[in-house]
Amino acid sequence: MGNSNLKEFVDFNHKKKKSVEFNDVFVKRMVPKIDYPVLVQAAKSVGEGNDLPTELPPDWENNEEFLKNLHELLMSVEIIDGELECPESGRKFMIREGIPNMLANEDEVEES
Amino acid sequence: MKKKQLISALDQLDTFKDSKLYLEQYATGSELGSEILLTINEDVGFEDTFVGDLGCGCGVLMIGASLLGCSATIGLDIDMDALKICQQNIESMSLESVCDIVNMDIIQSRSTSRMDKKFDLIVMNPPFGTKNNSGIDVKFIQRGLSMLEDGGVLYSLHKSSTRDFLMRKVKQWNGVEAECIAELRWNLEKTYRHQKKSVVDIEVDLLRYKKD
Repeated sequence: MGNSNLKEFVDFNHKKKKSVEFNDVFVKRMVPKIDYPVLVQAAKSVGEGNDLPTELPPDWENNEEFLKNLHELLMSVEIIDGELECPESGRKFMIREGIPNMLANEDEVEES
Repeated sequence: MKKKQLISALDQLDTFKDSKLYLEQYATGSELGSEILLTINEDVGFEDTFVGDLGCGCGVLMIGASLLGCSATIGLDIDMDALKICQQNIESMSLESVCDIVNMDIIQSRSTSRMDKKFDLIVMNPPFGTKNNSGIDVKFIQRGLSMLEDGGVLYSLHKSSTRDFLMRKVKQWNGVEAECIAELRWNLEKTYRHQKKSVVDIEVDLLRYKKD
């Protein structure tokens, strides 16, 4: 996920996969919401998404094999233990017991 | 799924071990949770949607939304203790592939802007802002609206006594409409020591916010 320039890499010690029934309607709905190249880059850093192209294929809406692979990546892979790293700031976000910790440090919060 | 089935499924979920007063943690009971979820399901339908649960706590609403057919849901909460219970609940229902949770301060964190306009639906039972944190209910709604896709719908639970105030507030926001779609009763069991009665019945509203 992410619509900013921030790119995330995922490093992991433990991950798990669970098979999920393909849902064509849902995955088509998700494509515009995800930053596809960033997702694939992050996936490849944990050894997943190797059957996905680095850029969104122009025919994605009708490319069932692509949609199935993307759906599997989005739904099946879970990082249990690892970290997310922002290559721009170098900031790391820990993932423990499957829960990413994105609590900001005090110097990073904005006035609301 | 029928109401009885949903209630009995949500009944199996664990709730806060030590509720934190400063976060206004009150578990959404299975009956109230079911009322909220079935009302939303009838109103717009969870099928194939991507749902956000802001201040998800132990995950009653996000798990219920998953049981009613949403395709994926992300729960956000500031409290890691609550999220650990939430994670156990997700696992006990075998919903790991549908439900994800992230430990995040949705009001303060800059990272939340990365979730702008992502969700088809947002469900939440936010703090009511009655415990020295006045205004937090409005901040939750505003943050939720920013995370909502254009044309998306946000459902939020509030004390009925704050309805007039919240309805006046929404008039200041461009392109947002709000309506109370259900008046409910929250049968709250005693959660904190300072509470005198063992059970209180609170009048609550399920408010629906739509964004153009």
